[in-house]
This record gives sequence, C-alpha cells and structure tokens, in this order.
Amino acid sequence: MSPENQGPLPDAIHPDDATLASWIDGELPVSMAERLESHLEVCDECATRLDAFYAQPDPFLQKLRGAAGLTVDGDPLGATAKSSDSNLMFGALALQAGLVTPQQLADACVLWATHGGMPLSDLMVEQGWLSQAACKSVLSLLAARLDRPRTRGSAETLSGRDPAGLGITDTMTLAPLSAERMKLTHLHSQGGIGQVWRAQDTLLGREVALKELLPELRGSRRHRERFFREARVAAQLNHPGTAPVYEYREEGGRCYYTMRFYSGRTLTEAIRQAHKVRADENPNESFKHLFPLLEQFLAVCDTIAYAHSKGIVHRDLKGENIVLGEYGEVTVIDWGLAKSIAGRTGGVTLNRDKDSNSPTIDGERLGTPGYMAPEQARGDLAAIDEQTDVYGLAAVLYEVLAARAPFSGETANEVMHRVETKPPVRPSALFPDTPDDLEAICLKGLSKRKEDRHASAIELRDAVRDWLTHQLKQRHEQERQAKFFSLSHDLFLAVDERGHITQVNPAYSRFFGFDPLGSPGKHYAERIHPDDRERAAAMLDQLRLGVSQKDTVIRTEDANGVYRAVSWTMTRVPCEPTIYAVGRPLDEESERRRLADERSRFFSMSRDFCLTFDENFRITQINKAAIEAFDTTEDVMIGADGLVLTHPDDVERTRLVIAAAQRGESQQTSLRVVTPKGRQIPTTWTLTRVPGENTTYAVGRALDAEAERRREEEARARFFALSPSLFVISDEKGNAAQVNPTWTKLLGWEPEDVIGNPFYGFVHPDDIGPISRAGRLALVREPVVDLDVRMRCKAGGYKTFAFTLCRVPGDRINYAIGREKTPSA
Amino acid sequence: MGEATRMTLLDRVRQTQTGESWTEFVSVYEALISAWLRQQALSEADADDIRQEVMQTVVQEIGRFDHNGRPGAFRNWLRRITANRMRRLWQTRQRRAADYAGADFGEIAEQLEDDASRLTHVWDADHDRFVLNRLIGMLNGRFSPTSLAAFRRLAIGQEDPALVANDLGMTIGAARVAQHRVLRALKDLGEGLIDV
Repeated sequence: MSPENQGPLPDAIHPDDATLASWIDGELPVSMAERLESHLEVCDECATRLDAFYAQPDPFLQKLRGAAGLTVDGDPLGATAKSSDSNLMFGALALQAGLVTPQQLADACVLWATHGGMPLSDLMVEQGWLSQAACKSVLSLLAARLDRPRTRGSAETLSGRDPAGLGITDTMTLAPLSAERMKLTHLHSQGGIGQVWRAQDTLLGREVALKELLPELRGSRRHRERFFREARVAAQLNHPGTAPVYEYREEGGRCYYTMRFYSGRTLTEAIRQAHKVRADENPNESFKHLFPLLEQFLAVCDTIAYAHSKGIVHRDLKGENIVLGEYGEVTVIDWGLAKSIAGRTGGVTLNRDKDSNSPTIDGERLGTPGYMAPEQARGDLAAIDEQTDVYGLAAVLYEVLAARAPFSGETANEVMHRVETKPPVRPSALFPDTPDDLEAICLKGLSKRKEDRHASAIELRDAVRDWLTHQLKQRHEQERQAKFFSLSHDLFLAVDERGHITQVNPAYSRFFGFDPLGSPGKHYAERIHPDDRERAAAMLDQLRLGVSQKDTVIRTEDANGVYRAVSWTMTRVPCEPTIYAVGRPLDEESERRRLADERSRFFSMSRDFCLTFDENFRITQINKAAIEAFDTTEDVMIGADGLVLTHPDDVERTRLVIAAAQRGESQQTSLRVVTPKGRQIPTTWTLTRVPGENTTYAVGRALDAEAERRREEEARARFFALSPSLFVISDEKGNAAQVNPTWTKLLGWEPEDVIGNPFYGFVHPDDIGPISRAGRLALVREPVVDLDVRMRCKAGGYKTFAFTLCRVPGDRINYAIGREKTPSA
Repeated sequence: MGEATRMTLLDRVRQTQTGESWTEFVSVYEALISAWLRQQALSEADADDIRQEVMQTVVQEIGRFDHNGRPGAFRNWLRRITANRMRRLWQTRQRRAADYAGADFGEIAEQLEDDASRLTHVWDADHDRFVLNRLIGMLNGRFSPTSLAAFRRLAIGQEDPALVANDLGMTIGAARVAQHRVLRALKDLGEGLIDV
C-alpha cells in the first residue's frame, strides 16, 4: 500500500491502478473503500478508468449472466442477430425485462408486419405499451448486444424466455429449456395458448419449430392439459399437408413440443404478390395469376378433408396458417386451436384423464376474427364441426380472390359482429374480373348457416376443381379456336359486350389491310359505313338477347379508305360476354374465290371426271376420279394443255366444241382419252363456261362398253326383279338365260326349271310358231309388241300373256316381257 | 476477507436455524428441489415426498456441514442427500406396489450419486442458475432501485456506463460504485453456496 492510501483520500488525489484493482476484488479495508467510493462518485476520470478493469472476465459475473438468460459463448447463431433482426430482438428484450406482455409483443409484431418500415420500438410506444424511458433503456441494451459481436467476436444467444431474467424479482424459473439440446433462435409467432420459437436441435443438427405453453399459463392445469391435447392432435395428423410432431416434453414446469420447421412464404404473402402482379396487367388477362393459388387451395382442402377423416377440425384456417414450400409443398400449420370431434369413427381420444372432457370453456371465442365462422364468433362451441372448416376454407378462397379476409373492422368485437350479421363484400366488387362462378362457390362456403355451405371440404374442393378444369378446357378450346380462326379464309372477329374488338384473325387484317395488333381495343363501329351503323347496333342488341344474326351485310372502311361489304354471321356463346362474328367478303373477287373453293370441294367428291380450264384451255383443276381413271397425277395435269390426253383423231373436233363452250354455249361431246399407259377410254363430256368467268368446266364420264353393259344389266335386273310381268332373256338358240321371280309366282316354275331350256317347252304348242317368228323379227328388224302367248303352268293348264319382244342393244339376244291378260281382264 | 460484517447466507443459516435468512434459504432450496424433480418427470406427489425428506435432512444436518473449500461443496452435499432420499423412496415404492407405473427414479438417483454423470452436470448448472436468480431477488429492498438498475445494466447487461449513468441521473463513478456494492453483496450472499 502506498502512503497516501493510509490517510483520508482527498478528492483531488486519484487512486492508482493497484488500489482500484483491490477495490474491485473487494480486498480494500472498509474505511479506504468508502473514501475511494466517495472519490469515484465525483471523479469521472477515475470512473472511466474502471472500464478497463470491468472488461476483465469475472467468472461469477459470467455465471450470473448465464442465470439471467444471457449466455456468452461462441454460438454461430449469433450471426443471425443482424440489424434486420433488431426489431425482433428489441421485442424479445422488452419481454425478457418484463416491460411488455407476450400478448402485447405478439400484437406489436402483427402491427409491425403491416406497418412496413416503422420500428417495433416506436410501435410499442405508440400503442402505449412501453414508456419512452423504458423504450430507451431497452434500445440501449439492444445496442450493446448488437455491438458486441463486432467488438468481441462472440455473440449472445437469446436462450429461454425468462420474464424476470433481467428484472430483479423473486419469481425466478428454473432454467432455459433443455439447455444443452434446444437452442431457441428467435420467437417466431404466438397463437392461442402457446408461442412458437424457431429453434436449433443441436443434438440432431436440425432446425425445428418449438411450441411452448405461454409461461404465464404454466401454472394452470387446465391450460397444460389443453396444450398437451393440442400436441396430441397435431401428432395424429400424418399427411404431406401437415407438420410432423417430433416430441413432446415437460421439464422445469415448461411444456413444449417440437415439429418440423417450415421455411417458406405463407399463402397470404403469395396472395399479396399475385395481386400486385395482377394490378399491373390488362384486366382481361390478370385473373390467370391466381390460378396457381387456386391449385394450392385445392391442396389445403385435401389436407383439411384428411383431418376431418381423423375427426379433427382446424378452426383457424387463414392464409397466414398455410406455408408454401419451395418445391410445391403446401402445409397447413398451427393446429393450436384444432378440436377433436368426439364420438366420431376414426376420431382420436385426446384426453389423458377422462374427467377433463371439455377442451375449451364454453363461450370462449377462438380463432382469427376476420376468418372466423359465425358459430365461432358467437362462441357457440357445440356448433363447431367440419362445417366450420368449410367456412374457413371458403375464407381462404376469399382471401385468394380478394387479397383480404372476408371481414375486417376496427376492433375484434366489431369484426365478429359483422361475421355474425353481415354478408361479406363480394370479391367482384373489389376486383371486377372475378369470375362469377368462382365467387358463387366462395360465397356459398361463407354462408352464415352451416347447412347452406358445401357439405364437406371435399365438396368445396370439387367445386373449385371442376371450375378450374372447366377453365383450362375452355382455355384449350380458345387456343384451338384461335388456331382454327387464324387459318380460316373467312374473317373472324370477337367483340366484347361493350362493342370493343377483342380478337381478330389474320384473314380479317389481311382483307382490310389493318395492322393485326391495332384492332383489339378499338370499337367495332369506328370504321363502319355511317348508313350501316344503325343496323349493326340493332344486331348487337339482338345478340345480347341471345338471338344469333345471319348473313348481315355491313360495309367497313379498309385501310385505303374503300368501303368493303362483308356478310357477317354472329353468335353469342351462352354465359360468355363475347360475341363472335364470322364474315364472308362480298367483293367479286372474294366471292369468286369462295365459289371456286366450293366447286373444288364438290368436284373432289364426284365419281365423274371434273376438270377446269383457263381461257387458254390449260388445266387448272382435276379431280381424283379423273386422275385415277387416266393413270396420271395432279402434278402432271395441272397447267397442261387441256387436250393432252385426247386421241389425235378427236382433237380437231374437240377444239371446235371448246371454242363454242368458251363462247358461252354449253356443249356435249364424246372423245377418246389416251392415258400415259396407252389405254384408250371412250368418254362423253359436258363443257360449260360460268358466266363472268374465264374458266371452262368439263364434266365427263367413261363410255367403256363393258362397264356400260354391266351397269345397264344391273339396272335391268333390278327393274325386272321388281316387275309384276313375266320377264325372260333368251340366248341366240332361244334358250332362257334369265327369268324373274314372277315365273314362280304366276306359273309355279322355279328359275332352275326354266333356265337353259328352250322356250317352247313352256308355251302352248299352238303358239310356238308365232313366237319363234316374232323373236327372229325382233332380232333383225324391230321390237314386237302385244303378242298373245299361252304359257303353261307347272301345275297344269295355261295362262295368257301379252308379250313384248325386244333386242338387247349391242347383243344378239332378245328379251321378252309378258303381261298377264286373263285374271284381271 | 477484509470485513467482519460480511455474513454469507450459508453462515447465517448454519448459525440461527430461524429468522428471515432461514425462511429465505428454505424457500430457495425447496423450490429448487421440487422444480428439479419435476423436470426429471417425477409425479408431483413423489416430488413432494422427496422434497420434504431432503429438506428435513438439510435442516438436521446443516449445522454439521463443513465447506471443505472445494468448489461446489454445498451443491454436492445437497445432491447426495437428494439422491439418497430418492433411492429410499424408490425402494419403498417398489416394495409396496409391484405395478407402480411412475418414472423410474431409482435410476435417476443412481445417476445423481455419480459425481461424473451427465445428470450431475445438469444438477450443478441448474443449482447455480436457480440459486443466483433467487439471490438477486433477495437484494430487493436492501438496495435502492437505482443501484439495482445500475448493477443490472452494467454488470449483467454490460451496457455503456456513460449511457447508464445518464439514464439513472448519476455520475459514472456513482453508477460504478452502486454496481460494485450490489455485486459484492450478491457474492457475499452466495458465498459457500455458489462457487466459481
């Protein structure tokens, strides 16, 4: 000890370092310590020197800090304590210091998320939950924590939520949770009776979500039971759309369970983003941005349907409770309010002891006001069942459509009052392009009365899925139509209900000479001839009433200022606001083209030979029948001289016929076609020129004798078979070659009795002479008519027939037809 | 040791057996043991039984407890008593009902008797943490709120002294002195109970 330390220490004399060190270690005698302390109280210089001493690690202080929930170690998680987390850290510190309640912190976090930019500290002060002074104190604490990693290369982990950690009270709790295993990273959310931490399971090296019963409820047996039940409910759910529960623990009076941690954005965030994109787009196109969300909504329905099959209702469905993973996973989280429906098959027994059978207190309101079903808002717990979730799902669908909850208000009570009494604002009132059908599905699900809603989550899902499928089909159909229309020579035009053009096809743009992209958005009447406008408007009115309009001619000004007449056929597709119009130009040129198309279609189907020729009698068209019969191909024939296949002997004569036809006289002629293979085909033709056109048409037919005979025979046979008269063809020798069924009917002879036998076997002996002479006469000179002949019946006796005998053209045979005279005469 | 007026909680308890210190001591340790037992998943009834027996033993034996100067002497002493009582109760339970379905605290007792077991480490950490928190609580009323705040923010929160002093309306030196006094009182109070 230096001499000056023996006596009273004057204010002006500063202690040396050794004295300060002794004082800090508590080794200075009381009198000296008191004098030194008096000096320090007024000497900032010496007080500041103390900083260096206090920077030395003191094992006791380190232990104390650990006990206060501040562990100083080289935790890598400290790296997460970036300034971006400072708001959360501020909240956690305020909570630790007991300055705010967990509820206030949770509320503040919600407000903070919606009041972008405003610091949490300011929010808490603004809400009156924190005094300015307290706020300042927490901020300084926060600053110290945030500075430390930089200056000391280590960071503190906020472990455990110990409301008295920094306060000096006598309500200390035992310890941070399973300190060695679970490192609580930060408070994630608070809901119901628990709070969810994001935590690191250091043993298994994975991130988990740790849900803990709120500390202030630990003492309540009822809440402990409820919390346990909640964990049991969550653990029952084994579905890709739910978070698996890892374990449940109670230690040190703390109850918690761990689950898979889901990182990813919530459906609400996705909805907000989709609507932002939607706002920037053409309203006709924008709704498609919601399609992925609707797909995700279907997945949510499936998960809830699964839970219902397990006898569990979620009761707190909202976009915030649906997490979307990076790879398409859709997870329904926060089953904290889930309830097991007692007495259902497949339901789980969730009570550890049978006497605590009421999971929630009657009249207690649970859920999120804006999404709450009316029965929840009333607190009518007995009425809560699967239908409550159907409402919740519809509320999520509403959020998808309208980017907000079905109901809102200043206070929770006000919101719940509206839930019970008011219909929700129609999403179409907020977004006019909301499809009616989908809105109807959503509003049905939001019905006040349970029985008016969809019967189950599945039914709601199916309704939305069917709608979606229908939309996709329709979209495909539209694409298909668009492709079709773009290929069509006809003009195609789609007009919305207000008369604005929404779509045109290339033929339309080509015909009028318009820029293909310039038409959509314009009003249809813009370029219509003034005289036609009234008619067009009247048509549109009729169309709105659902009456289709056919072949109405309207003149429209083209890009060159010329009015061009188009005949329009218009229809309106039921349940669609669009009017479709198909137009056929009435200009001469286009009309001709249309007719030519029509003819070529007609020709292609004909079995006759059809050809068209230009004014120089070159072939412009040839149909399939001609190509096949003439052993040729279209390529060779098109453009060839019209007489290329004509027999040289017939060419001169045919030229004269053609010249006559081109003058406008319809001509008929026969000529021989010589095919490239050398076959000769006798043909007969009709040649015509259509008035006003230079094209000559030729329709021909083969005069092939064999084919002709066969055709005629067939025709005869058909005719004779049906004839009531006797019919017989006899060969040169006079033997019957063909008879008709009338022989059997009138005379009783079967064809086999007659064919091949001489005719006289069937004729009265007195008539044989006259009929033989008549046959010869018919063969060499002319037909013989009304020759009475008595024919023998098989059963005996004769019948008289008046016969006509005639030579078959081109053959040395006769045919005979006999009309019975006796019975009728 | 520079001052005769220094009196640790342990000393006072060993000397008086009644009074405020005694009440404080009992409340701290009763709470510690019962919380610790419940953390080990013992039923409340079992935990109550064991706590009562442990506290009874502590009351009887504390006069004879001799801190041998080795760190953690007191908590080790308490640990062995606890383990001992647990084992005894466990044996009774097993004799009485073969189908006893509670936690197997015979196993816990065994681990707790082992100086090197994991459970012993947990016991040590829990003991120090719990008792320190309770001792801080006992300083309420012995120091002014300002002094306590200075201690809290400087010693535990490690805040900037100038800022703390300014907030509390005192000089930096005065804040440091307050911190020093409270810390010394806390150390004194925990002497023999909390070893570093």
